[in-house]
Amino acid sequence: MKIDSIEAIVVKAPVPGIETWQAASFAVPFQWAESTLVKVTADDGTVGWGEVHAPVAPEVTKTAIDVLIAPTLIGANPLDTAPLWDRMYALMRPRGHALGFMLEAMSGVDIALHDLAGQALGVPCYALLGGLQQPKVRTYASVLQWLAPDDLAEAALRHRDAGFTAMKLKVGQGAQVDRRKVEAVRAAVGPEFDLMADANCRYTVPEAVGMARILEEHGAVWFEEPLPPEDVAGYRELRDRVDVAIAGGECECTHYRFGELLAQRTFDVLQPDICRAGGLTACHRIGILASAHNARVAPHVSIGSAIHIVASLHWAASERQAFIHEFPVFPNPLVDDLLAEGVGWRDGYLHVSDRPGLGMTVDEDVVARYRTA
Amino acid sequence: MRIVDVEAIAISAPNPAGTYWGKATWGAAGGAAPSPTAHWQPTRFPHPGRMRPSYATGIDTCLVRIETDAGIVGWGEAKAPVAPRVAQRIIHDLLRDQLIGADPRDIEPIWETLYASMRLRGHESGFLLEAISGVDIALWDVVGKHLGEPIHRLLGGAYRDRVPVYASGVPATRAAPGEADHARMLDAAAGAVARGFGALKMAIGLDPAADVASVEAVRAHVGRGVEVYADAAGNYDVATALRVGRELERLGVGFFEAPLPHEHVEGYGEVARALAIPIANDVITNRYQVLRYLRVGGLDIVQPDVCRAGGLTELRRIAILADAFGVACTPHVSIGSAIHFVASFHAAAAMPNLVRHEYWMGQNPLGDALLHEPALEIQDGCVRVPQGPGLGIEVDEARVRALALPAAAERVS
Repeated sequence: MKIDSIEAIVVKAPVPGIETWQAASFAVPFQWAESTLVKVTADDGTVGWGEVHAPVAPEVTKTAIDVLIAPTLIGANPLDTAPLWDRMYALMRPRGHALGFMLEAMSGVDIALHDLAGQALGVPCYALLGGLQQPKVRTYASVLQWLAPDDLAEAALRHRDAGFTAMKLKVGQGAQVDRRKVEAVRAAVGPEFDLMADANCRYTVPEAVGMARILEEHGAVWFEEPLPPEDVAGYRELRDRVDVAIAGGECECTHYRFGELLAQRTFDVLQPDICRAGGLTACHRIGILASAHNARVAPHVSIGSAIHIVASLHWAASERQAFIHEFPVFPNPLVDDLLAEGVGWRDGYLHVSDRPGLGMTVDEDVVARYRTA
Repeated sequence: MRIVDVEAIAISAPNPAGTYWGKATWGAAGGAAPSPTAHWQPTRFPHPGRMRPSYATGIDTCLVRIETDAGIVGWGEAKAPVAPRVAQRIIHDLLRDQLIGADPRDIEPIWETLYASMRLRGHESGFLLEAISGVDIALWDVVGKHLGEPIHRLLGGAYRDRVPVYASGVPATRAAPGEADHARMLDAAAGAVARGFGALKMAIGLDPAADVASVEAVRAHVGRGVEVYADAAGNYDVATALRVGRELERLGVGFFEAPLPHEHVEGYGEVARALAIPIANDVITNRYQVLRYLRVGGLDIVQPDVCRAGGLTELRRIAILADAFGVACTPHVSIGSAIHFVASFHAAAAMPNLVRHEYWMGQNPLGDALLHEPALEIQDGCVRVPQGPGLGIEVDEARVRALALPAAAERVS
């Protein structure tokens, strides 16, 4: 079996109000739900799908796949997923591309190769990663906007009624505002509902310690990305000073970098994004390291398509360290309409498919509808 | 003053000298492999296949042209020895909208804004930083031209008006003395000395015995007055690095570059503590990454590349950060256009902890060939730093545009 073609597809779908999200955190505002999908076709006609996490400028990773990765992989056996991962990584490794666009582009191709390999062998992707540890994974409702305390409380009740047992809210607006958010949500949902807080790297160490105290008081499951991503020493200090679990890693890539973070004990909960960290190959390796360090895993997904969620779920289903999974709660045509069978969310859980590969039936009419490049 | 136009130009020129030295050592040997995974067959550790980069068939890069409402045009370069259209896309699709209308004199705020556009997504190195580098250099060129001063004067002033350079690179060989490849290696080294270089760098990392034998042969061939450096491009593990490093110490090699894969930060600390030879690394970008190495005492020399590490703004920060740890700086260029080299020379002229600067000794089709007046001549092992405003060079724009890549014409190997 040989790889015949690798196609990178830019898709952009409308999401009402997306341009107002987190304007303070990101220099480039969101305009659409954007993504780079990857379609790998083998010489026997089998097709595998993957996705690159590309919430802005998906044309960049499409270009990297078109001019750099695809020419290298054409003709290879798609079942050689791990050697091909190392081949892709080596293309820019001596130039220091340890994360960023290169790893994101690789992630999409790696996922598509796994989908293809699973179909070729007639087994689901989780079986390629060592087998099924859990057929369903608990999810938390992930609120990606900064909302006022009352609106957050209302959202929490709505998500609880829909079947969620946990919700994550965005903080990072200063201790006073953040305290009101946490208090309002806790008051609305009571003690049985789990809460997480995500600061999107907006605090310094002393501010984060103060916020951690508030979260500890209200029994939060974790405090996510309190500090800028580069400040490993700050994370280490924070870990020493607070009790609440520290979560992070959505911007990180590869087992190399997660290995270093684990060795330094910066995070209690790792949040690799399957479409950024290096695909199923990298996340499988990261999971092994997490297990060796007794760290928990909570896979990250945010703005993307259904492929992103399903690929991440196959990893989580095979990964014992994964104890909960992110689930964005906003209407997104790329998630809601792309797959005939949907993503498998019901009653607060993501249920993994036992069909070959990622078990998806991609609606190519939907792809064509939102394709821009 | 406002920015009115930002253009990235992906260019490619045929390599007149055949194979680039990095590709000759670390790239695919003997043309196309029978299959993409065929090179996995040899049993070695660390496996060379995991460090085998992509190389373009020509000499490629991505230039940046920024124009202001005052009519000033600034030039920069994003490092792109392969796939220059990736940096081009980043500049056009992600960075340009943030630049149009900005005052080019706000260089540091602009740098932080561009970095912030993907910071929470972890883009600490790689294509984004390379693209930002190109924009940053072009902004410094604009501001220098606006003020009528060369860039090095705006970076704090001139420690020197000539930058000492070393020749890159002489590939090590598995060939025995007397064989053609071995003679070619010695001739290349002697050629560098004949051109006036006071130092040269060898590309090692093939296998320990051949690496040491090659360095020993070149060391003896060029004589005592010439410094020899060695670059393993991340191909060893700690034990091999220590074994080879002891031999390089015995041979009086000036520095040992990239002994380990760059991901192995702790390993750099271990190697640097154990060896007396200075340890260097060229692929780390931005001050945050450099700090991780400095904290573990992993480097004696930092080798940031102005077109990869974040431009002149970030190169200066890295050099000063290194200086605070007692660490020296030898800016990396490997391969690139005259804009790349000259930008880095300006940084080097203003750098308190400079040791020597890299210089690709091959015939560069993107070097003086892109300028109306030459700027890259070697005299007594040094390059003269341009004294005109900005970069102090005049880019031959017609020549640049003639080299622009047509759509989908890139090839890699």
